[in-house]
Amino acid sequence: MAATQAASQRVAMPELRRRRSATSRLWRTAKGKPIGSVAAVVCIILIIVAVGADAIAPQAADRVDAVRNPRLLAPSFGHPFGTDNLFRDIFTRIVIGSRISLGIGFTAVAMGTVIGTVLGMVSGFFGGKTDLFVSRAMDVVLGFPPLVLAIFFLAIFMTTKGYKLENFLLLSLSIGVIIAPTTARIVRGSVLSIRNLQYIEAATSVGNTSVRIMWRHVLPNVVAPIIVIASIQIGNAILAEAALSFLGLGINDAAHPSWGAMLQETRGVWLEAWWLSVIPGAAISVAVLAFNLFGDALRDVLDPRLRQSS
Amino acid sequence: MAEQDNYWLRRKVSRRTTLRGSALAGVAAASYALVGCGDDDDDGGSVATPGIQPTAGASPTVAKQPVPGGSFSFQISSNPPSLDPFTQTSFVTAYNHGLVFSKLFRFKGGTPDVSPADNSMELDLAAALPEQPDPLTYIVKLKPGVKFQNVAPVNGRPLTSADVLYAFDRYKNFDKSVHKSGLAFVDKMEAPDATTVKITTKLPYADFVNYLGGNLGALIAPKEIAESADAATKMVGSGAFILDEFKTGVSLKYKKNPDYFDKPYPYFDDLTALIVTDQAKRVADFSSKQVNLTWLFLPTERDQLKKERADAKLEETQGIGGYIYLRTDRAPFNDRRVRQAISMALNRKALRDATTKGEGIPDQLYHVGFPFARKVEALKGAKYWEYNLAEAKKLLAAAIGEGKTIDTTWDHADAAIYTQTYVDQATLLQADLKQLGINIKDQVAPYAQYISTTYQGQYEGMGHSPRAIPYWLDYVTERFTMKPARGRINLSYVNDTALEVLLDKQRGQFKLEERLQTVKQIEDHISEEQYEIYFSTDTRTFFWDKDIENYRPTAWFPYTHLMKTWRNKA
Repeated sequence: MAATQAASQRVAMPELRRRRSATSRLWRTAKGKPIGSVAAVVCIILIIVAVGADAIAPQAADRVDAVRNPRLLAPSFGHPFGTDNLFRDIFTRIVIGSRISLGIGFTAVAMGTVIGTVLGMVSGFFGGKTDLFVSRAMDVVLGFPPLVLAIFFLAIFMTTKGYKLENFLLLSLSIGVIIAPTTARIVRGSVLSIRNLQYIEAATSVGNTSVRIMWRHVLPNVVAPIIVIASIQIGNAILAEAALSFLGLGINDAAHPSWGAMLQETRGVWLEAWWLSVIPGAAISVAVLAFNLFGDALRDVLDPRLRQSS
Repeated sequence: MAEQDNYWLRRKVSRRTTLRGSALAGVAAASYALVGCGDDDDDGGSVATPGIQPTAGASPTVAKQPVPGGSFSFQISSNPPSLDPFTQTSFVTAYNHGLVFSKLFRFKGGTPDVSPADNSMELDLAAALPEQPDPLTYIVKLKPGVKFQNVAPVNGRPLTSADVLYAFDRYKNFDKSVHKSGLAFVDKMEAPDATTVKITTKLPYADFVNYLGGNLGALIAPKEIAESADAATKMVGSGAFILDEFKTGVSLKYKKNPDYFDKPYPYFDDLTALIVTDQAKRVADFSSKQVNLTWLFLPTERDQLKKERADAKLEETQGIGGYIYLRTDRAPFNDRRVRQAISMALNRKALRDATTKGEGIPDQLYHVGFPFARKVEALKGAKYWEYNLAEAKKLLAAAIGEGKTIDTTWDHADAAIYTQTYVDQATLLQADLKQLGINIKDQVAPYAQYISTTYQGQYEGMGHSPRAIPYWLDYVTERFTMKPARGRINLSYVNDTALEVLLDKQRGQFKLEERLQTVKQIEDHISEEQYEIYFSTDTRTFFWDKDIENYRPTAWFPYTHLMKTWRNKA
């Protein structure tokens, strides 16, 4: 009897462990990483705000209405973030502005991650002169101050101004280019650690091409660090977009504000209206902080080695 | 020349009238204070009190002994798109031209004893005012012994009448010249000898002196540079300062021209024009005493600098007034009801409140500031300056149909050159037009691109620029003529036979009183047609170090007379 019970317990245990991991692992992780969890919630809220901006914003971002939006009105019940010098509601502009700030942030990281991953994999997998060439090229890019490089890039390629897809992609790419070397270095390191493992040798010995091996066998094994570095880079990308917009190199217009540009446009009246500097600045800070903390937590969960190495 | 042959002396009354017609379009314009110069810009006449039109009053002159030597630095708000005087209308470029090139005549303004908006002329290369043996002929004698600067490729060779002819011919006939229409009044030019220029005009031209003393299409640049590959980056003239170094986007450095013909000028050994596109940096640099002269400040920055540099000298001038131009040669803007509706839909008071603390000149046509300029309420089309959205919608509906809207473009420069206020104006006005039913696609361009495309008339729907301060009455012709070609700044493509008749008429009227009657007819006509839609003019303030002597900003080119300025070392 006792033996039967023991056997049934032994049978039931794996099921229990599996159920636990499916339902409570997230909760346990959240409890273990409370700051990261809060950051994740903030990130999710920001994404929802950006996606549903039109529904959330009480007005159009370019609505100039001297009656409804008195000039330089301090934060109040009707205008929680106040109004600006051009009779516009700041809450509306912050909400709509999240689209450019987050949109560029995500697109830039996507571009930078793809570029960095490809270069890192090629560099690490082939080694030799290829590795030498790619690594030195990355060193050259890293040798420039990141924003200066982005400005340089935009000065050459962004020949028109304004809110259009071409400029959106160029701005994203300019930030992606400064993100890519970091990703490439991390991916290269990961590839170097696995390229001599037996399953790679096995894939090679059965005649797989290098491209297929990288795509089918190497990439899946370096996904974790890629996700981690990408999540951390989102904050940097948002900050870079804000800085470039502040410097007049953004893609915003009246109907499509960005947080950095909101700071730039209102500089002349900061002394009269503190909220015009504090609120867009706080939006940038909250977004950057949230994505950075979320990225840190994700790193600890997915790839603790990265934390040690960093 | 015998006195009886000298038109200017023979007809003393007419000569005075003439000089007043062009110069009083100067002295008269003394109190005038529109904006900028030549192309599109900026500073204006003196305004003692915000919102008050400038007066012709000159500052009391204090006799002080000039102190030669030393350095002087000032700021310009953008990189000059090109230094070639034949292909540029940029005011930034023109500011620098004034230091290096000479003209036949030049503005008197620029020293404390002359009002900033006084556009009367003094002699530059010319030895005397032109002789006029007949109404169509002007003979200008050059000063003897004038040489180009001792810099390659001219190496100090004499400046002769052939050089003057070359420059004027190039302004008129060079393919890429942007000044062809300005000199359209010239029929032929001759050089009887090395120091005489004979110009025959197509018709009597009352603004002869003022145009040739202006800052666009009148600078005498030598062939050696004009036709070289370096024309965009080098300047060699016969002016008071020699361009020593041009670092794109950073600075232009000048040194004294020791062979300058107009002794004892210049006083400074060297000048530096710092290119500072950021308004906040301009404020910070002057606050921290890193630059000797700074300018173009709106009331907010003005008040800040007054606190931070209480020791500095300052002068507030009528500043930049914006205007909209539209393609009146095509639908929908060829219907004047659409243009009138646009003007009535602009909330100009809200614009002033939002961008200039409510300061500035509220309503105006292009001659605001002139003593003879009527207030807008006296114009036939005064009602189009009143903010009346309901009436504007009716006008628009009558023009394009009930319930229909217009989709169009709005081209303008970015904030780097004309400051954020200029872009804010575009934002506010576009919002006003949206309420009217005109949906704008905002098209912003960097200054160099804007000045060579939009400001040359290359735009599709609407454009927006700061106002130019006219220093000659016939400025209106360049704004609205299509004869013989589109005027240099006829940005609205105005082609109006009735208006052309009036423009031709005023150009040949040497008696100011008669000419002003014609000008009033032009103003009435334009106020009803709304070919260009004007909004308020702001105030701009210049600041300079207290030990800088004999300097005063001018309504047109604030650095023309830096040669007469010195630093009091005592």
